[in-house]
Amino acid sequence: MASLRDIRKRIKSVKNTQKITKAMKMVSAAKLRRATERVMAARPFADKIADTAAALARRAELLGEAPHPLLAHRPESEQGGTLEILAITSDRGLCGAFNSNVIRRSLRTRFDAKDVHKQVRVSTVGRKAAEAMKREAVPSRKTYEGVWDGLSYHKAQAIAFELSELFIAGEIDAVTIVYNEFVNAGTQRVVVDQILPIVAAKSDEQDTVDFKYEPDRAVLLDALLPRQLATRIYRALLESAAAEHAARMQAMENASKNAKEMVGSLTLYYNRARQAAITKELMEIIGGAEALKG
Amino acid sequence: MQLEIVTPDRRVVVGKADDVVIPASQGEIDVLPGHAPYLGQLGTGVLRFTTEGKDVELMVSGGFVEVDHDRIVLMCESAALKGEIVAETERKSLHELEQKLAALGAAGEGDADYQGLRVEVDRAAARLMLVR
Repeated sequence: MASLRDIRKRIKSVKNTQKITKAMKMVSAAKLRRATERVMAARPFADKIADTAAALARRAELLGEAPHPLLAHRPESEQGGTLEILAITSDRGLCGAFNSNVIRRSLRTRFDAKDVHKQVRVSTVGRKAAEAMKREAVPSRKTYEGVWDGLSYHKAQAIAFELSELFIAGEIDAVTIVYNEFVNAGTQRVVVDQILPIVAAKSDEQDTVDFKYEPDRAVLLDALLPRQLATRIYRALLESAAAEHAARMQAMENASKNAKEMVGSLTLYYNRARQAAITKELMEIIGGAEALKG
Repeated sequence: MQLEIVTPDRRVVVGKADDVVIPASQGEIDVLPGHAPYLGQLGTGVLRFTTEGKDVELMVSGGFVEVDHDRIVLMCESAALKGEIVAETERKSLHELEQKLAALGAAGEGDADYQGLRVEVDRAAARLMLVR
């Protein structure tokens, strides 16, 4: 049986752990609030860009022009081409199944896509995905690093521009992102989304109001579509950041609860052991007294 | 006219405005009520408009401007209201950016980092100009 001192030590250590997990939970809760605000705040810009791009694409279509290369549905996008999977995870752990869900899903998507596509490549955002791909010996085209320190639209745009260039050059024919979407504080959902080629939003642009375009329509669409892609990626990154904090908050909540239970059962054990020691001492005294009487 | 200015991170301005001067990529355009539908790219510079007799100034950079039926929408990559800009911090960051740019040197002129930094320098300079 463990000595009383050992048990006391154990209780103290669990209590310390509980303090840490509780603090981490609070920190995550505060970060989560900010992250969800950012998700909301990014919406107007993304919607406007998508609307404008859709209207321009529609106009080009009405005028019978060839679709923009980023929109073009070349047959390789569907079949027989090169697919790139962009897996988005966090840099840090201690957030439950948050990262492993994305990693598992990415690997499965890769496996399934091999039947359809000639080649499947993987790129990663976040240290956890990079480590996992290394472990699974899946070669990555690129590991985007440092995205989460000071996450900004600018970083999303850099990724979007690079993917757009590769796509137009014909090096990749389709891009799918895998990330955690923030549903609510208790739920994250893994989303698998094709982001390239861009599917233009439905535009009900019917009227023939003639806009003055500067410099011209083609240049504007050229500039708009990669930015639309950037807002998609930015959205995914923001969602993932919010989901990460939510997942960590939950994980730390569970850990705190477990610690509390553990302290409870250890305290019970401690009291029992103490009582047993007292009883034993009493028995010895009584035994001694009886012996003297005799 | 309705004016809306959005960036990837927030909605900077939304409300009524008359007489909006916009730094488009091809030069300043002055938008008054009844302006013809217009879609163009934004440059980097100072945007001015009047609302309820007050003048408002802000730095805008990169992105697009759309004018349609007395509705002006700016989708800019970067925007800052005059009141949000602190001259001292701006001066410092401009200085740092210029040093970084100089460190890259003429050799890096072609690559993306250099271009990005160039844009950042222009934006910091435009912000500084607004408060000076």
